[in-house]
Amino acid sequence: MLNKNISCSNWRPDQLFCRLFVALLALFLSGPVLAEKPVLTIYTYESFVSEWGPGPKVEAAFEAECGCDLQFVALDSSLGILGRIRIEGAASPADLVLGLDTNVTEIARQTGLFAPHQLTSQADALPGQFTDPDFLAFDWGVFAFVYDRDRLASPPDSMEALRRAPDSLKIVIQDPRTATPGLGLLLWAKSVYGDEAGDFWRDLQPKIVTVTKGWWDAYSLFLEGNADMVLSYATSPAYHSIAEGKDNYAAAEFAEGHYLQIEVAGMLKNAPQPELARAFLRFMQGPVFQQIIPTTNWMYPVSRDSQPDGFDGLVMPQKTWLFPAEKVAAEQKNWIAEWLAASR
Amino acid sequence: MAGGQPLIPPALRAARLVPLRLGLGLGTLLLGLVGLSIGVLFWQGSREAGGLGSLAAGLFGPEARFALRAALLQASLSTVLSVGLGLWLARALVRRGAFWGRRALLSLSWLAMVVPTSVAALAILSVWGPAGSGRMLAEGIGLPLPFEQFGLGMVLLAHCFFNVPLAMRLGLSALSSLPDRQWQLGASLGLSARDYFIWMEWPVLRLAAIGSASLIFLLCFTSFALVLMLGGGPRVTTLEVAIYTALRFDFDLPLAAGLALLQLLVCAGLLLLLWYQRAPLLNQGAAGLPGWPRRDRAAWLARFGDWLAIGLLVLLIVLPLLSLLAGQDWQAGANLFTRPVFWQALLDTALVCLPSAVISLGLGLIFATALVRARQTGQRLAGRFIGFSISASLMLPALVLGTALFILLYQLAPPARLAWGLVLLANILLSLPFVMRLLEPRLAWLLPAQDRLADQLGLSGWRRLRVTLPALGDELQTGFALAAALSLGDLGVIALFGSADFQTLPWLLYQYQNRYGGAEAEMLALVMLGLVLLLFFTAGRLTRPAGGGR
Repeated sequence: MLNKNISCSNWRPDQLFCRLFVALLALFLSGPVLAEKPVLTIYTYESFVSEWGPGPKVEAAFEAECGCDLQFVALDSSLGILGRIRIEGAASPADLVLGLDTNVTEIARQTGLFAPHQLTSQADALPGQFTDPDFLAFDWGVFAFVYDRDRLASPPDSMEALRRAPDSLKIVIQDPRTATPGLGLLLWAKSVYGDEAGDFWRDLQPKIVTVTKGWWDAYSLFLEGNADMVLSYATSPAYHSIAEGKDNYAAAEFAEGHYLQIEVAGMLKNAPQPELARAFLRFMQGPVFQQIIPTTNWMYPVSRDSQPDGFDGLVMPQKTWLFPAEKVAAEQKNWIAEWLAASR
Repeated sequence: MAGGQPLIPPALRAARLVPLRLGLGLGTLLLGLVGLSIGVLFWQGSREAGGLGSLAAGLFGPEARFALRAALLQASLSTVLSVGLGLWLARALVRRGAFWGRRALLSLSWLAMVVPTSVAALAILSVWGPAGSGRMLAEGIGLPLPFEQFGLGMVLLAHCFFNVPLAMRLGLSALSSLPDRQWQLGASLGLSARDYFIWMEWPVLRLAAIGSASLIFLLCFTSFALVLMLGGGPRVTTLEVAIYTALRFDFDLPLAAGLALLQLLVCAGLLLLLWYQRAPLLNQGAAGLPGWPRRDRAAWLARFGDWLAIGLLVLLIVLPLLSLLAGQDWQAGANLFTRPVFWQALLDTALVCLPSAVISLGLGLIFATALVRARQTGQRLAGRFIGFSISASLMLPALVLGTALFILLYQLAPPARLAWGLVLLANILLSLPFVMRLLEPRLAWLLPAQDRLADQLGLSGWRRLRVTLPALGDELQTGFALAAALSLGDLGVIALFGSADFQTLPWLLYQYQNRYGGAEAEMLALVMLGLVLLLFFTAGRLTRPAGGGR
């Protein structure tokens, strides 16, 4: 029937005639010319797919070796990806999901929609072990407070120092219910302070200028001079130095250690193309994909051989924190409630 | 006025009721869509465990109660401030008549209504934030600002940025419905400012106040990103935040359904309260600035009050908008135009904006006519039902509507094909309340005024429409521009689809804003503002004195 790969298969009012034309063309041409390439469908978050993200390069590189058509579906966030497959359930056309992180892997697993990848993890650059039967890591980073050296000469050197800093030190963070770094800080504080995390949040309140919905809102508030520090990633300064040639941005290293974010991909149980999906997971851990990641997604690659140049001067914490995914899945509602109570 | 209806011949009376029936039918459809959305979320989620418990938590839970209290306070204050300042301004602009910069001010006020919220927030902060020029200046001369850097005050300021122009517009349109005869009479009697206000301005402004208050309350009560960004923390929140959290973070669909239902019930209750107060609109008058000199213009108190209001408008709207231009990195931003994705998004946006504007206008015309006919024939309940159904779409978060329709439809058509239709639908629902409010006041005097002539000539149905439409020219043009501009700036439900073949400018802006290096995001925001200006320009609003024309 109608070949799905022809460019105007997606319906738009201006393409009605295009579709008619294609249908006629398909009638007249014989099979071999329109031989269907298998389609690999990957759900991910939008910044992965954008022009400046890893998506276009990854797509070109994988298509060169797989003889397939790689199609990304770009949702607004990793939670958006998860919501979409939960709605579609077993009928989802997706083969792979790329861009969940270790905070939601357990919640994703509990949907029963994922299949074991049956591959060996090649990730050797993670600070610690990460093995998961359903998910494989493709990049990682740590959350950190970023500041401008020209504006803040001596930033706090620990979470406790931040907590005890004078209230004139202003920070901007994200809401844990709407943004990944926000949830990261919540878990970071919980790791460091345990049952006393509520007290930490109460002490921090006067220093928080605002709690934004997304990462960009907070980051741009900081860049425009509305706060001294912003919750972001330890890799953020690499963007400023590599892409903008600015060396005044730095991440503050905290003595208690930093909270880890590992981004993962997993294949779906009902993947229409399971073999292609597995081939992509293998490709994802290989050098081509890993070398694309650092300067497009601004995260660390999981492969030791692919460490990028401009990342040397970055904060590389001695100690990192990571809750087991099951713990996050079980407790996050309570921890959010604790944060809300302390913030109001 | 209300009692002096011309007798309508029975044959034509039936034809006149067609729009009313149509309006009632479409209103039922809209309310059905709202009910369906909430129902689908509940039904889908309740197949898993604990559906009813979650629904109840959404309606009565502690988070719902906190968000409700916070949102009620915030929205009430925002509404009082916006409507108060907006109507004060409308009065000042009419009393001052033509002055230098009036047109520019009115055009910019359109712009302020449709700026994407994330852009507006940064613009406002660049003037009034911790490092803002306005705040620095005020502190430099020892003037304390009445609002904190972040917090409730800042949220109120931002909501005024969006809604003072709206209230002002509705106020101007109400004042311009006063017949020239009355201004003439006022001038010959030598009315004082107080007399003008009591006898002429307040009776029409009161209606504009009720109309704009209900709309502005809904917009502020359901505000989301702005509240989080400027609110300073989770103390300032809305039910919309809780709904987003339930849908996205907890994926608890019945909880989201319960919260959406709560939002709907509260908004509906408040709207009903307002409508109880509602008097019939004046059904006579002519457009335009009063052509008769007002004696109260020259009084120093009037002068001071008017210019103070106009000055506040400049501080509120013009300064932040100008600061967008000042902060621009033109060279880096120009990269935007080399990207094919920008041009594709521009085309796709046009494919949403233009149909959305046309359909919104069509529906708005039907609804506005239905409202006028309901009032003429004394069917108050029908009128209230229609007014309520139009606003109901504002009480339903786009995310709830989009998710519910996605659940219903994704098995019928691939998401890429659904995207266009659902984004269009969400945009129409967003524009409809604005367009309807724009058309209704003019139709309220136009229809009765034309009725007698139409009866004599035996015009009805389509032939009648061909007489009515040209007389609505200004409103139709402005309504078209407004509806198109609103869809131009609204993210709507597109984030649910993620199709690479269908992108809109707001979705592109969202993507640009999720990366390092904001020059292109700022440029894109400026381009979008430019397009909005272009829309209003081509709609003829910049070439004529706005606010009713002369």
